[in-house]
Amino acid sequence: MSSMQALIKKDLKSFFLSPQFYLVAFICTLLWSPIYIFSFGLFLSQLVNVWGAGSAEFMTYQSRVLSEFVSLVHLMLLILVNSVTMRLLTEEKKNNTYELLMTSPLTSWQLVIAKYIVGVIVVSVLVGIAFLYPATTAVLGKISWSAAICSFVGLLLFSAMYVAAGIMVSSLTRSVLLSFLLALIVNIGLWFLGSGAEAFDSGWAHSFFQAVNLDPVFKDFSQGLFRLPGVVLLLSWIGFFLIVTERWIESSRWK
Amino acid sequence: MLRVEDLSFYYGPRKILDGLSFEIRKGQLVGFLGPNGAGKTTTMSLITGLFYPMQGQIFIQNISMTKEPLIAKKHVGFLPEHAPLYLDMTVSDYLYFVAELKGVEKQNLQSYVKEAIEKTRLGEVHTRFISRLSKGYRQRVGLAQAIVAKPALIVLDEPTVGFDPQQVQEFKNLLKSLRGEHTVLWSTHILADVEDTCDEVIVIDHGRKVAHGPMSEIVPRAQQRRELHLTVRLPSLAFAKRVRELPGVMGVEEMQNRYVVIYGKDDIADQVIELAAHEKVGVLQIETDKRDLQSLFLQLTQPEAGERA
Repeated sequence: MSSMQALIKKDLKSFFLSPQFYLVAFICTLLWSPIYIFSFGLFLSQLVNVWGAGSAEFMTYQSRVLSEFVSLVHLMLLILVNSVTMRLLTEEKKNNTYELLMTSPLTSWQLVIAKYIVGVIVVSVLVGIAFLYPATTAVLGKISWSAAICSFVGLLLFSAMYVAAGIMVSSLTRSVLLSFLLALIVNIGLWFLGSGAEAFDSGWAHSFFQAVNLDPVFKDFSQGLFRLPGVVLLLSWIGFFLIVTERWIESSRWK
Repeated sequence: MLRVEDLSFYYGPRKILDGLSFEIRKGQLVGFLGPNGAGKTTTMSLITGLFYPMQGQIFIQNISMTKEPLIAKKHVGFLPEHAPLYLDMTVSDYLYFVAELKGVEKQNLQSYVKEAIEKTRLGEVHTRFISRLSKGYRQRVGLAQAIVAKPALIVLDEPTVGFDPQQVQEFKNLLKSLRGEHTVLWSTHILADVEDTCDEVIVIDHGRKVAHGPMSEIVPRAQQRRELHLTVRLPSLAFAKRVRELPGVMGVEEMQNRYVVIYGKDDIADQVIELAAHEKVGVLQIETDKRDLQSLFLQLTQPEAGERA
């Protein structure tokens, strides 16, 4: 087993054996379940009402239930992901185990990627729990699987971006609380970047802020639409945050 | 086995290491001494690959830490001042993890972990969570993680800080048992620790090596100028004059009813007491300089301090 695999295995074990993870998962299901059931019930009653008017074809499960649900899950993950990432490097520093990792036969990239994989796996489990809701609905009736999967792939990509940002912040500080708050600020800040386009009527600045606007990307995914530029944008952010993290860790060896 | 060549390191504009060079032979237990801020921790951080040197080279088993860090790191075990422990793991799980992290082959894992547990006498607590262990046991777990992958070099940075005398003795015994199989570089502030444990000592100051060799050579060298502190009831100029005339005495400082006699290698305490009795100065207290680390540092690193007389 390589050093990287050993680190991933240890971190995953630590996450999945800690009550903290199950508490987070419990809070998620506690909020998601009634909201999903309520919005699904509302959708069914509206469907019955408009059936006679002949406009029922405009009301789909994807547009009325799943996209709303995905937005809710996304909002919660935007906050909860930081409680996962704040532990990844900050806790290593706080517990003095960072020195153990840095003096092990592990490159800075391997360390960053190992931590990132752990973060993505943990968050994927939460996304997987959320996916159980449409999957259960599919047992009862027919849903558009392609649209549902597209929505959850989008959710996963957004979460993966938040994990990358969280790891970057986690590498900067020894305070777990500060790591959580800074990661939250960075992740929320990403959503406000797009609004920079309003400050410029035209030109490269306008184009840049439009290109990094996450709002249309998320809308596409929640509607079950898969568009490549959106995927490229999210992957670019992930790459950017991971590169900054690696550079920061590497530069700390010179300080 | 360990070769440090012309090592330099800066923290911002401050020079921490200034062309530090030394070599340690295989299987030796070497004390690494120096006053606070001398650059001990930085040197250890560079040797273990935690930091990169700005100038110079480090070779472990002839493998360059700067050019082939991933290979070199496999040959080094490190116990920093605060042991790097995952408190939510059991001792065994932690040692398995460190062994895997250090690249121990799967087929050797069990035997390596078992051996580390035996050597550090952790057998009775190996299934316990580290969070439940005492400070002494935690430090033993720290030592176990440093040796679990059977590295050729073990680097220990002030491992006995906060220990009671019994724990220090136990830890020293553990280190002695590692001698021969591993090369140990041990940073400490307590001279007594290294005196009866280490084969050699390296003393650094301001990032430079000021002494390197066996304790039996370094301590006498540092003590070519020693001090005898004498407090008397009735100070006398004649007494001071006669003490100055004693063979081996380099000078006498007088401060009210106290005298500081600076002398060389040969003990003069008996002669001074005889003179004091003869001159009837009434000795209240007599004290020779202790072979503590502070005085050793002062004498090795600031020779002018002993030239007051």
